[in-house]
Amino acid sequence: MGTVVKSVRVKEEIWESFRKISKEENRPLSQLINEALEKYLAEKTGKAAAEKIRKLPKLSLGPEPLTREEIYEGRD
Amino acid sequence: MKVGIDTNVLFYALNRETPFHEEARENLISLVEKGQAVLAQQNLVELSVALTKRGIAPLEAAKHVKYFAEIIPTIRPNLETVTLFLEQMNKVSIQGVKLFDLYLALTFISNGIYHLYTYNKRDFQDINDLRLWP
Repeated sequence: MGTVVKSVRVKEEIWESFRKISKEENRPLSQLINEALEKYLAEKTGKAAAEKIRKLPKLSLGPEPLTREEIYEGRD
Repeated sequence: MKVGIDTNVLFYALNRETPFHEEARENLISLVEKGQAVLAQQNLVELSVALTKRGIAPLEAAKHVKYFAEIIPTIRPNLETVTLFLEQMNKVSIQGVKLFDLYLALTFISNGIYHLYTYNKRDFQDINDLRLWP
């Protein structure tokens, strides 16, 4: 499955390492490359998202704990 | 392992006046960084209510809620959520406002998420199949 993408340049030693792993683990190269790209993307997007959480504003909302009763009971 | 986030975690991550502020923020950062954090739509509504009840203007509250929604993947209830909800209502003695807890937990469970990060652990401890995080 997946899409055949255009040719990209890969460092020879990286490519050879991938081929070696592919043979040793008896798994298709496409599968290994997809996994590696997924991992890279997850790491990149995870780090960016975590950075956004770090930048959340700090509000003054009172010291009382938040309960579901507060959320759902009463109108004000 | 995905972890559902309760509304109080989002609220405490924003609220510098609570003793849970730093812990909630650091744990949330860690879960988000690992791609483990998941929200339910119910969290977004609850956070909107909580913020506006604590004096934040609706426009500003919407901005904060949107911020979370853009960062953390958000799931929705599905047909199984309601089925499980009605089944559990027959089995456990949860009633009143606590049924919202049950519905939130079952929204996560019916989306294949069995762990929940909350500061109201007691409210969720009797729900089958749900594990409290950490």
